[in-house]
Amino acid sequence: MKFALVAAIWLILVGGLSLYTWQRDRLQPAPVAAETVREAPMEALALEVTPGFATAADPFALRGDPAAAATLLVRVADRELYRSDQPLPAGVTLSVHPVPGLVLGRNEIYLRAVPPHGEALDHAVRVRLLQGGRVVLDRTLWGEKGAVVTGTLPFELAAAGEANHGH
Amino acid sequence: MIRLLVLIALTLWSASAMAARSEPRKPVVVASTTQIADFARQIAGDRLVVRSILAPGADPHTYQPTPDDVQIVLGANLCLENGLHLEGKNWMGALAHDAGKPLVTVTRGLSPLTLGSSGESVPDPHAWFSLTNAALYVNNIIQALERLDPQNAAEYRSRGKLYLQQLRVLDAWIREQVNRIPPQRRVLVTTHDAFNYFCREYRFNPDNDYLSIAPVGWSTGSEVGAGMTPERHRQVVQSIRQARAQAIFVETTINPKQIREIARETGVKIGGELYSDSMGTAGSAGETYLGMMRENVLLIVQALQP
Repeated sequence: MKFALVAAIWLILVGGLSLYTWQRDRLQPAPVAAETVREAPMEALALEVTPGFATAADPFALRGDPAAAATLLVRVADRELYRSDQPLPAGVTLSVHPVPGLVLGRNEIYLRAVPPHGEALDHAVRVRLLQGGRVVLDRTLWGEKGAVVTGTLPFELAAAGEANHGH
Repeated sequence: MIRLLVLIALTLWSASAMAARSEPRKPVVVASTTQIADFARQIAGDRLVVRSILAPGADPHTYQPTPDDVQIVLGANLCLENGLHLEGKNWMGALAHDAGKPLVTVTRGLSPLTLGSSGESVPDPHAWFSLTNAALYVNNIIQALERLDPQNAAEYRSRGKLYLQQLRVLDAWIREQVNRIPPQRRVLVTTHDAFNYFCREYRFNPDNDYLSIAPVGWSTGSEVGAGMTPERHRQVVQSIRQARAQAIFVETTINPKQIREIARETGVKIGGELYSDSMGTAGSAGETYLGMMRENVLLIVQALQP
């Protein structure tokens, strides 16, 4: 009799829980349809990167990490737009043209530039993106007191002829 | 009713006990010093158990392993040592060898400063006082943990990458802080020769080839170039007078008697107690490597700036 009582309570608990989870899943809204992504025409885009300092190898880099080995790295998601594993001179503008990997709509560029070790100075890198000769993005990233200059630059790209919004 | 409750409780307890038993045992990493243990913890997170043979405040040069240490190493999957004769009479190497455990020297690949002494030269083992050397320690430990536990290698690399950047930030911060001390006042006198890498990196003691000034040699033990001699004592007193040192510092791991004597003899104030061969106790500001370096620099700057 007691065993039957325990079994009954157990069944009620498990059954109630199953009913609850089934009901919860049923009431969830349908997944949103995947957004269609259109690639931006790469030929119309040009990227300019100007470090205000001579880049250098990072003695604090993780050994065996290809990204950390670069003295200057510009990336969109996992696609490298520009990288140099060699020191680069200060004040020289590096141009990337065409610029692959960007889409119409929201984009984000990641940049990492390593200043020389032992300088407790503030360092900056200017980044410009041009679309058909028009400036879409013009931002300066800063690294304080010898820190690696690193950051993400979000911006929106519109089809040629539509309004562009750099943020 | 009570029987029913007891039955339910027993069921739940046995289920949880079985779950706990089925959890795999975490690999154990045993480090010789507190600094190396801290580096390993920053990389391992909760994936591994990290233990240190030396307690905070213990002196690695003169340490004598205990039966408890033997037990700790017997339970280890990996042992880490500083090397360069920091562990006096190679006690960590002997512990790992006797227990048949793999041992990694975390200073592997480092170019040590060499200290000359009566025709013989010895490598300076206190390499962690340079932040770029600390980065090398961290990279070597990351590789060792990757080999020990390849399943979680990506996690170790991620934590290591973050920690390396923290080291870079700390390095820049130290340079900014030290810059507040005018170059002519940048004279660092400590109990023993532990601060050579620090002096070289942050430009202290220009009249001593940017090396540390200390009455006790690179080790407090009995090795070549170690200990205190009347000649060293005389040289330190002379250096303090010539360089017009503003303060001298005692160290947490060494008896402050000698440095107090020198302070009395020269009339120079004691600037405070620096962490040197060991980090601080749990709960203290110096309980981590970053904290230890930060507190040392704050103390030095406070004592030496005008």
